[in-house]
Parts: sequence; C-alpha cells; structure tokens
Amino acid sequence: MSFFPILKAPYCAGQTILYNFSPNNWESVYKGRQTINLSYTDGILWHSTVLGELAYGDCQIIKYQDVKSLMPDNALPLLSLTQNKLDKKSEILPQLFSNQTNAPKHRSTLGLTSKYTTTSYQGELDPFPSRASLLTFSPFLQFNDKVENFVLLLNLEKKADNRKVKVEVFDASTKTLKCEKTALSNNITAISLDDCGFLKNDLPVVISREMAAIPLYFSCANQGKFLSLEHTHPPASLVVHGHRFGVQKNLKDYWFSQLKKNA
Amino acid sequence: MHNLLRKVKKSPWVLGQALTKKPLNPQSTISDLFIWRYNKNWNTYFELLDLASLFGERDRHQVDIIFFNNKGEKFHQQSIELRGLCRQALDISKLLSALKQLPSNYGTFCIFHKKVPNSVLKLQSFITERGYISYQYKNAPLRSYVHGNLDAIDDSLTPLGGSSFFNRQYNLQYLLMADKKYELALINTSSTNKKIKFEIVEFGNGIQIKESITLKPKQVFVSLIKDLSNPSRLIVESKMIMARPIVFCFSDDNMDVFHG
Repeated sequence: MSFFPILKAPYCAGQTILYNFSPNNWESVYKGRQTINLSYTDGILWHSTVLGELAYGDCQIIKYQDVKSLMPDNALPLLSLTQNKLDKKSEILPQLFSNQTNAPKHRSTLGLTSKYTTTSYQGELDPFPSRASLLTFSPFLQFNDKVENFVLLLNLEKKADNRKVKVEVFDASTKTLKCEKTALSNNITAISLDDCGFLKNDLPVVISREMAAIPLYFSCANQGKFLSLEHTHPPASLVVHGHRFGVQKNLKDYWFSQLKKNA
Repeated sequence: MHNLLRKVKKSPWVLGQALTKKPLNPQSTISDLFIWRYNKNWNTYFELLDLASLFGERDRHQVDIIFFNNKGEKFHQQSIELRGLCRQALDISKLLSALKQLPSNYGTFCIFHKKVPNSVLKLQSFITERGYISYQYKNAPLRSYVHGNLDAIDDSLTPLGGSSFFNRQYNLQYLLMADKKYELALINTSSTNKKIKFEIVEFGNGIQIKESITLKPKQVFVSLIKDLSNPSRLIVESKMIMARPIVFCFSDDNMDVFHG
C-alpha cells in the first residue's frame, strides 16, 4: 500500500533500499517476485514506469541518479513494489496491490548520502488527506560551528497537483512568528531553520494549516562531513491507549488557536 | 470471505497479545526505555519536553528520571524541574558522571512526567515519553538522533510490553553492508525473561552469525556485528510481540543511529 520516496537534502543525494520480504513471519503476505515501479507527478498527472523486478527474499538499492533521467527535475521520485501493473498516466495516485503488514509496517531504508557519509531512517509514505494540517515541535536544532539545520517536509496526496502552501515557524514559548516559508504538496521541501533566529533554548513549532507532511529534521556539519536525520512523532504519539486521535485533535486545536493570534 | 480467512489465520497471533498493556492505575504515566551510553567515545543527550505545557497546562512541572544498568537493575533516580515551553537538552552523560561509580557503560533510562493533562485523562489515554535521544560519538560536531519507539514501562516500573504465545520473527528490513560495523541493541520490555535468537543471514541464504541469549525484564543487549563477508540482514526470534532493535551504524568515525 505504501510508497517509498527517494529523499533529497542539501549536500546529499537520496537513495532508497527496497525489500521484498516480510518484516515478520506471522502476517500473511505474497511470497513471489514483485514489480519495482517509479511514480511521479508533473503537477497535472501521475506518471508511472516499471524499473524492474525484485525476487522474493531480495533487496534493491535505487539511487536518485538511477531515476533522474526518467522524470522532470525537482519531481519527487516515489518507488513501490507491487503485484499489479500501474497505469502509465492517471489523475489520481495509482493504487498499489502490495504486501501490507501492521506490526511492524513494511518499510524501506530511506537514506541521504553525502561525499563523506550516509544517514537513514526506516520509513514509508502513504497519501495524506488534502484537508489536513501539520503541527510539529522540533528540539533537533544543533548549534555547533559549521552546522546547518533544515526541516524537510515530505508530502504525498492523491491528486497530482503541486499545491504551494504556507509554512509558519513559531517560538513555542513566546508564540512569536519567527519565519514564514512555503512548501509544495507531492514533494519534499527543504526549509532552512538557521535564518529564523532561534537560540539554543528555544523550542521551534512548525505548522502548516493547509497540508500534512512528515517532518524530517536534517542537520549537517562541514558541508556533509557529518549528517543527522530524524522525524518527529505525530501529536497522537504523545499518548497511548484511549482516544489518541481525540487527544491529537485537542492539541492541534489548542496550538492552531494560540498561534493564530500572532500569525 | 478472503478477509475473514485472513483474520482467522491471524487470530492465534493477536488475541490476548497486545503490543502495550494498559497500566492498572488510570493516572499512570508511561515511558520508553531509552539506551544511555557513556564512556570516552560516547555521550548521550535527551530532549526533555514539558508535555503537560504542550497541552496548555500552566504551572511548573517535573519529571522523574530513572536509570537502569545493562542488566535492567535500577541504580539511580532523580527529579528534574521542567522549563515550560523551552527546549531542555538533558546531558545524560553529565548526570551520570556526577555519580560515584557507574555499574556499566551502557544501560537504559526512563522518564515519567508527573503531571497528566486533564484533557488526556478525560479521553482515557496515558501520557507517554517517546521522545528524542541523541548520541555523540568520538566528540563529533553533530549528534545523531533517534526517537523513542515503544511504550515500555509505567511509573510503578511495571514493564508493559506484551508477550506472544508463540515464537515470532522480527525481520529487520535493513541491508547490513560488509564494509560497515554495527551495534544492534534490543531491550526486553516485557515482565518475564525472554529467550532471544539473533541470526545474521546473507542475501543468498547462508547464516553468518547465530546467537542466543536470555534477557531479563528491562535488560538491554548490544550485539557487535562486523567483518561480514556479504550483504546480510537480521532476524530476531523471540516471544516479544515486536523485537524492534535500535541500530548503531559505524563508518570510520561517523555513527548513525535509527530504530528498526
């Protein structure tokens, strides 16, 4: 069901490793050869093309360089492993018939590689509803000499357009708007957090009222000599059991109303 | 019909086998068991957030931080005042260096928030600390972050991880490269001893490494993987519902950490 994007960040090229085996031995999955697809949007339609096949039990590294010539510059490459053939062109994001597990979810390794080193996390990307929002508290900024900090907003929606949305960055304590940026839907947008004027003890809050995204926090030192990458949890993960999504709604309503006054 | 059959086949693996048990006390708070590492090559930091303040609760709040050695035995506890909606990077190595003697150079810790927001109580949920830990390796200018992943233990120090009726495999979907070194860390978040089998298997089937251990509740195990002859993957077999490891990946003086 999930797509596996190839990431993009300053000083780095993306690479994604796909796995055609189940993350556990007790949820039923298809144990055969699967098709590796590349999908992307040109802003009007989704385009999909077959990159190859992956035998059961095997893995495949796919680098941005491998797919660059197959799609427009700056499009987000989305990989998938499927049992079905995807339409070459479609108005709505292609539906994938692929292995799906819950504990844990089927994942790939999403990595960023500089001239010197690599950082990665285990992830996947499912489409967000277009009427959704983002609230993330970021304690990831690092302040050493020659360190740069970014938030990478990773979004996927069913419609093929690249919506341009406002991203606001606030200080949690004073609720002051520190900077305002834009991000694109169906893409990965790198936003520098160094020019927002945060100090070491400030807690940044990044919000978008118009779009949900996976917020990946990326730091690099000495132009890629050292890399760090991690995402924040969705607000529902601050609690367990009970009505977690009710808690998430309360938290979002509270912060969006608090921050509205200063926007 | 197909879906019904799938559900029936799955039932022996899910019925009565929750990933996270519910604490008995509805006002309990929960924490992951985070790994601390401290010696000449390692420093550990934790990004402390005032969770009650995030929910709009005013006043000053505190947390309790509790440390365990690598066998899961408690050796230190202290309370820390939170600074509201500010960033508070807790230098775990500094906290530990103030103690007379450390029982090991790695172990686990948990953080319990003392204030439960009313809005969370009303929705019958439990506040859980699954926040962000970072490691500095060999005084690198950048720390590597990983988020908490499990709701491991409640504030009565009862492990909350469920147990499986049958052995189950966790197949880490990660490519272990022959030219890199790894440390794979696993914590027993259940309340009973767990026998765990680790296998490093080549893509092409040959088993490179096979190891078997028994972990006590709250105990952490770190396995060094190096000198692999071919690209490989990890299989963990146990009666833990989700034996998800933390992976430290080394390449020269660079270290990258992530969860499975």
